[in-house]
Amino acid sequence: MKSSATPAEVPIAAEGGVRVAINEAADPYQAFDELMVAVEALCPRWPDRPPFPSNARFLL
Amino acid sequence: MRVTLSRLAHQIAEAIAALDGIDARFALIGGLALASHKVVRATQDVDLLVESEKADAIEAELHRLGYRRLHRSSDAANYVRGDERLDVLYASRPVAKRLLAGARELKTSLGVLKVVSAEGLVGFKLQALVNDPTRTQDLEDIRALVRANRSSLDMEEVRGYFRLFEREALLDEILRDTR
Repeated sequence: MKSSATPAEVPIAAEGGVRVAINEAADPYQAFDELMVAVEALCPRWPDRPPFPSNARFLL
Repeated sequence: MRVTLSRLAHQIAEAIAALDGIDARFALIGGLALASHKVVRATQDVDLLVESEKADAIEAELHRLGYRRLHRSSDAANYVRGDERLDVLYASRPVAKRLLAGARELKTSLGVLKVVSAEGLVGFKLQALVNDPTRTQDLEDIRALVRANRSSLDMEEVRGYFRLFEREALLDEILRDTR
């Protein structure tokens, strides 16, 4: 796995309970990509997901 | 430019190049768009808001890339390629058209990305939550967006989305929880 150049204080998972503002100078998509490399290594094949519900209300 | 490594990043770049190639207007929504609003989390899907007038051309491009259609209505479509998923919402109503027109262009390590506003993203997350209340991740995303962007969010616009879906009490609860 590629080593991360992202500062340690940058949260990579909002739901991880970390409430620290992202470093505005950093590219959040670099952090995202590095996170996805790790996630994809742990989960090399995504599970099936259902399509949108047939009775969905799209109001926007 | 930094070389991207994740499979999802390559999927995004490929889709963007294909849609740019047919001059289709689009913007990132869903988990991918969160990153541009200070919330970085993993996601499995590429979610796009696209101009509804180009629905057929977009589908043809996705077929060319190897995707097959799982579902399509006048509002939305799901495409799959192996275990890769690409979902689109069609901007056909005034709100979505406005959000698509106002999408910001960002230069990122994944290339130039267009993303909807934080307020619009909250609206789309709310719509997904209302359509499938078991998707608790959407509620967590809304909480994270509000928490991370509290001082800059146009709360009247956000409240308008919650009013549209008759969920104003939920917004009040979120605002209390993220204080």
